[in-house]
Amino acid sequence: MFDQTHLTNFSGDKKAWPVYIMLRNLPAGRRNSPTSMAVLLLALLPIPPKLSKSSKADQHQRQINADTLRDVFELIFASLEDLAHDGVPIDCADGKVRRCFPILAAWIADHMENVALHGIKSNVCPRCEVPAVELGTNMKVYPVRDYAIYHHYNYENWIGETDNADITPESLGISLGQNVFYGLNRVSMCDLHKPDMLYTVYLGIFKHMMDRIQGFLKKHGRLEVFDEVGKALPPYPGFLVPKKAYREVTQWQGKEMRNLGRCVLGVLAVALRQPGSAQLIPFKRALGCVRALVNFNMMAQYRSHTAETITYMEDYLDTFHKMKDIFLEFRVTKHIRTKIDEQRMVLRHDRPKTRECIALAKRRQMRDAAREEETKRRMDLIFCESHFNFIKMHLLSHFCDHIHQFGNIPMYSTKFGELAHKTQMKAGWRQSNKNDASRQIVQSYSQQHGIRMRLLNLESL
Amino acid sequence: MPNKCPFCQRKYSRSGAYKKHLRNAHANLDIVLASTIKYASSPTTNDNKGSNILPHEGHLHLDSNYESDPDPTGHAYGAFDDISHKSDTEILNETACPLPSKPLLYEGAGESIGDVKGFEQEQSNLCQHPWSPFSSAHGFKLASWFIEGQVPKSRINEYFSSGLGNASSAGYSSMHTLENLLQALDPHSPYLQWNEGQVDDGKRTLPFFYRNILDCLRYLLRQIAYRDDFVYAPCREYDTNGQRIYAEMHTADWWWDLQVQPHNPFLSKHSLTETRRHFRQVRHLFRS
Repeated sequence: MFDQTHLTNFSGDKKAWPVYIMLRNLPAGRRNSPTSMAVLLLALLPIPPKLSKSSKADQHQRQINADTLRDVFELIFASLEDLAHDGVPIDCADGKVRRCFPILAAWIADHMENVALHGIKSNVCPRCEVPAVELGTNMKVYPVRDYAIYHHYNYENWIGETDNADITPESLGISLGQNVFYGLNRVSMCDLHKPDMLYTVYLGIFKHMMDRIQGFLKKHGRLEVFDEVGKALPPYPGFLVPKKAYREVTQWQGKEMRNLGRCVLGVLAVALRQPGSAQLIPFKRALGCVRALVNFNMMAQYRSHTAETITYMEDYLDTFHKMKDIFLEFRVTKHIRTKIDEQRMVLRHDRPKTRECIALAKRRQMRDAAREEETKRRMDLIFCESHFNFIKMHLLSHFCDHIHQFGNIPMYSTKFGELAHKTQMKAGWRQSNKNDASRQIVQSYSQQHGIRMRLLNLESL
Repeated sequence: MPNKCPFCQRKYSRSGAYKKHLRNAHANLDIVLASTIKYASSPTTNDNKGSNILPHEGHLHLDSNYESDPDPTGHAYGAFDDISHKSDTEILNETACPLPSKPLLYEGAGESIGDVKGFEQEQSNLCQHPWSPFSSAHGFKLASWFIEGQVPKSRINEYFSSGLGNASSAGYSSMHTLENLLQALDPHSPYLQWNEGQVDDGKRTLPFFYRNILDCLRYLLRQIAYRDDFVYAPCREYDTNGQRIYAEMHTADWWWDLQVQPHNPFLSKHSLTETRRHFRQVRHLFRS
């Protein structure tokens, strides 16, 4: 596991960049339990300085940082060389010696960390070569990324070395730096990326869809009802009653979004009851879309799957993609807003200026017609420019394939890493005297770890 | 915002209190709560426990509109008969289905190649001297309390120097001696040694810390605490209908495909995974 974390909240801007290691030989229930002590801190990496995007000097510095990161990981993975093929005898807990083949199977990190380590751009998939303009589709026909081939290509003379001139680093989404996992034996680099319930589903798709649902409800005048129903939910075991409406909360945590996922469909169904004749179809589609997403989320939380449940998941995802267009118009980005302003300026400039010589009633008619034309063009522009082409929408399409290969999805969540930060990083930071804190952090937890491991070992005797 | 019970309009802000209220005051209503199902799941074996949890037996018998009659012995589970009983179709399915099929283990995987030297001795030492290197359980518990409570070193020294703590019973009298004992506490701690490295990013030199990744694996595999949970070989699990189950990583395809097969060392495992993925993509295309 690999994740950058903030050590201070308000001042100092201190960060830590820990790497944890876990054994997949332990079942997830035991491995991810915070009391099992099965998450070991493997490394504490240096934090590179924050750089702006524009400066050329910063671009050079960014390249140096990427190279440095690769060197650090080469050092960390050095002892694994050749062991994946030859194996190594290791003493096991049951008193037997086994020939073990340590192989890196998963790299649990959020998307931006994966981007840094795989040497790709932020809006591309680490697993497949999907183009940026097709991230919002549910197609699975894109070739799997072959980082080994990328490594052999010369970045500067790319076009000269490939058979197809259309394939460029830009089209493949390759950024500076190289994949830090290159050279590890028997490791499929594209398979290291794992689906993440926390950042992909709860804080990704759910959050995104809630923003669009808010726009939908506002358009149809149901936003107040939605808020009132949401706040009037009765308590239930295992369910945290929301005390505020969705739009009144500025920052949503993962567990709050998960909680929202449990009730959003019911609340939306109540808010959209008794539709008018014109609202019947959009309301039905909106409910169908949210229902498919909630169902997909529910199935993704399963701890064990069969071919049947995986087919259900695929069907729910297909339904979601088919119906999601109902929310297309409700996310006007800054880029689209700029275009709307430009379009309005052009329309007003082109409008005839012979107003004084026309009668008042006629002038009013012309103004209304111009306003209607402006609204129509604005909606056309929004429909044309809005899209669902963002990376988290695409990552959902890899969930089902992942279950076949690596098992259930919740056990790969980054929330376990966040939990490890709390005990292994932040507690150590608070105990330190803040001078050369990294050294004190790595030492402080080892005493606690030794005591807890002794107690666990005694319990198991 | 306080929430009202839909049955008696009482206000509750916590789900725990609301759950208790439902269980006690509205046990006669048809409320399907996970906890009540749990309590009602074994009425013949946990009679005493059940009667403690659901004290209003009289209420339950008053409202007996359910298919099954209340228990003549007066057990409090009568109201949940329709919940705890399975439907006819479920019973039919249960009798028709065979027992769950056994998992298919990967042949030859995870076999031992020898015994760990001194393992028995190590275990007997741990049994005979569970708090070693501490002289007593008191010393270990006090140290645990200091460390878990994140007591500063100066305060620990002060604790002993001011006479609050009995150094002879604890086995140490200062933070320095306590640190020495803690270092010797974990016999496998040499696996977890820290190494320090330096990186130069062109402007400054930064330190970073790392452990030997192989030693970390050795440490984890050696812990007796995980002995019963370790899985050393991939397997394929099936449900009662013969469908493959994908749960933990050792039950999925990746490990199985990657496992070294002694009888076919030239087979590329990576290509197996790739082929499997390709077939899945083709299947999806056909479906869509």
